[in-house]
Amino acid sequence: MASEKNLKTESGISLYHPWVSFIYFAAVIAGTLLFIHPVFTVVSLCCAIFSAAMINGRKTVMATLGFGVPMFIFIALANPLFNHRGATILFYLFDNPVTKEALIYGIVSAGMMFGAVVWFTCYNTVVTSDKFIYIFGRILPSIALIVSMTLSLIPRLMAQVKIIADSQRSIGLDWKSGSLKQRIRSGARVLSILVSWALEDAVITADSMRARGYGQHKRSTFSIFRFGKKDAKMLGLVLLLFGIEIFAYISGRGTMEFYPAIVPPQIDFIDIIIYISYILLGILPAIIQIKEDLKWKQLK
Amino acid sequence: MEAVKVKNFGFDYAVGNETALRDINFTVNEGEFIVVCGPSGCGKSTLLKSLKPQLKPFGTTRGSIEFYGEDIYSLPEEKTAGEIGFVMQNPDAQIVTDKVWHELAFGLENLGVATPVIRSRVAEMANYFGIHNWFRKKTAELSGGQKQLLNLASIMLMQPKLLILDEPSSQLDPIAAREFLENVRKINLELGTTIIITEHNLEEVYGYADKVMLMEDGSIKKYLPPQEMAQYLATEEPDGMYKALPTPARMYGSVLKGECPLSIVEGRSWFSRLVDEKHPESPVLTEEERPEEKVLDISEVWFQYEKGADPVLRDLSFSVRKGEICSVLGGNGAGKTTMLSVVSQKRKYNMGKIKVNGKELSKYKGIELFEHNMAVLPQNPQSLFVFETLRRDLEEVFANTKLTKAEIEERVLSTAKKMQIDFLLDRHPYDLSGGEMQKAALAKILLLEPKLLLLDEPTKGMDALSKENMGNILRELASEGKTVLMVTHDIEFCAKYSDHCMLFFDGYIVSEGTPKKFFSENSFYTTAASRMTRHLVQNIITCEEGEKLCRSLL
Repeated sequence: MASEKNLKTESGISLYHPWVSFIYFAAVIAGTLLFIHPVFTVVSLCCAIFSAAMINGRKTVMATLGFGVPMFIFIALANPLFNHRGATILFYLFDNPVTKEALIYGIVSAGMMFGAVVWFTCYNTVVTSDKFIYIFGRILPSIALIVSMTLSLIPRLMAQVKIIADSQRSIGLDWKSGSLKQRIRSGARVLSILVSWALEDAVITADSMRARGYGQHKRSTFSIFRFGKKDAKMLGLVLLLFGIEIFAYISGRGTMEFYPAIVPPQIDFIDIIIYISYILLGILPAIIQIKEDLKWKQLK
Repeated sequence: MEAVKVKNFGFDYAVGNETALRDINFTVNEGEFIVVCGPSGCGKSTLLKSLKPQLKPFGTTRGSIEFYGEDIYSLPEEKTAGEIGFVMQNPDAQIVTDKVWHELAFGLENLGVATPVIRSRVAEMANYFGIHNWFRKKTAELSGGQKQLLNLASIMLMQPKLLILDEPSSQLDPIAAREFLENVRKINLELGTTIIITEHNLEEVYGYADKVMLMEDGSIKKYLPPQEMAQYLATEEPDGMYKALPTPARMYGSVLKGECPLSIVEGRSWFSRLVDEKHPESPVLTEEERPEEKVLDISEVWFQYEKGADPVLRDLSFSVRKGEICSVLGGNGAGKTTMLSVVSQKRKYNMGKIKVNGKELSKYKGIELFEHNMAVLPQNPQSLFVFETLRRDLEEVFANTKLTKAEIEERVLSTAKKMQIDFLLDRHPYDLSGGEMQKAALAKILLLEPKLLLLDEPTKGMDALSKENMGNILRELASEGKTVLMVTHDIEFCAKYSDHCMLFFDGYIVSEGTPKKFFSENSFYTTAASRMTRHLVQNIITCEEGEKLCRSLL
């Protein structure tokens, strides 16, 4: 693996067209949330953690796990404590039955939540704001421009707040010291200056937009992304696996009965195909990444 | 071919009291570089905006403006949007989107140009301006100079025939400003784009101009080639716009002999011819005598932004004495501004000692440091103003004191008079020009009666007259016993007004001395007058000394 520190925003699945990665994550996250089934949940969770290690780096994954594991335990335990459905009673806690079904259901749904969280961390690294804007720009061009403008405005305002607070402090009006009343007053001043400054800037931004012909014509939407052959191939594969997943859901092979009693599923040939394709979908980013890493090694 | 032809043009604002335009007549030929100058409030901005239909202010017009033979206001908007480019002052607010590549494409998107066309044009332009290295960056991460270059490039992408620039470099530091203006010149020379530009500081652009337009009170006073304009200003307005001219032109203006030089190279040979067989004596350097009392004493200070990072201040030691104007010069990112933030308690230093008025910096608690001890003039003066009139803003300084209303009014008025801003007291602070705002900010911090003033780039965005004004104010403050420490890029200002100059490099003060000693010993980092004369006469630093020397040679 390459450097641990850097997020892999320029390698592996990130190098594919935004639509490919977006549909990919739509497929895995949909699968994770729809299939309440131990096999699918275990596959999804394992693949999510594995992919996150590849995409986000081991350090970030450890941080995610540090938050995810307690969440997992909490949800897994909360369900049997508050949900008393199920036929097999394990024991009584404060006169309430704790059932095997509720316990297993808790573990499965906790795994589902955990998996979804981890997949979202991968999504965040891969589908950056400009890719998101690109995708929604096709559907809602004006909204996409507003998002882009907002994203440029936020850091600017943050920088301005700092400048204002610093210069106010140097004339003795520090919102970090003095009585509460003084501090509130100083804070309000910073805000008030920020607002007038922002309004002043907004007039200029509007001029700058008009000067470059905004609002006179139907806009076109430019992007730096190109859809190539490798994108087409990968999109085909993702769509195929997504299709199988949808089939599994519709045919009911992706869900399991928990209450009143767990019925272990009868696994047939079709199920095995579904499982394999689901595993393949889950480890797709890892495969892409490993293939790329191997190539780099060969080149060395 | 005439790119712009203005005939009997006049303009009146629908509201407000900004300067109206009257009897404007001029033509600009294709490919010309026109510099528009004049005191602030002379109507140059209004004229420039009138040449861009999308930005024309509200009001009534008379006469006509033709753009390539057609009336500019009846041309289709798509045409004028693309063919007339307009770059404004503020580098930040002009940027619309969050990514560099998106900003470049913005104009063409507005015109509905197809993606493949945009793609190739963006690539071309990014290459031309050297933007390809930061093409995928976020716009918020760019430096001021990069932002303004991005604004220029994203306008050039629309392939304008006429490029208008309204004080484009006034918010950049001198090094970035020079780079930016060199790019504008490159566009003019290599692409043949017609340029109309106003600048607060003529030092750089004056030499690029094919013609210079001098405006006053909403009309054109003179429209001449730069050499003739220098001659005119030297004879007719020696106390006005003449002072804004670059040093070579001013030295020529003091004697009006030969051909007016516009660059240092031309200036050197012009000066050689002027000196001819005469042997002018170099003024002698006098020993520096500094006052005893140390208002600020920094010894062996180290500073790092974080553990293990490169130290920004390395073993920094220097002192500022009572009643002195001290200047710290040095390149971009050398740590000068960091030094100011350490001195003003914004950041804590790792090692060493700093004493302010004899007391250690760490002993000042809360805002004690800013109570009658130290005041900081920030780089963005508008961050000091809150109210709708300047008067209220200045009076507000006394909000927590026990002074009576009459006393407060008295103090505000006398300080405002000293700064020559008393006639602006009822204006909105945001409506002031750059120079006026800077003076108003200085007035505000002076009301706090500090002993030590820290100034960060006090002349940024100022024209020559405002600078002279600011310089005189600082001299007056120093004579009253106040002490000034400024960080600046402005070599000429520093040479003219400071008592003690220091060169900051690699985290400490490398050399220091009186301006005369300091600048005559430096060979690169020195004033234009020194560079023009040093091959024949030593120790000439300021433009005024140069002018005096030239007159003595007649």
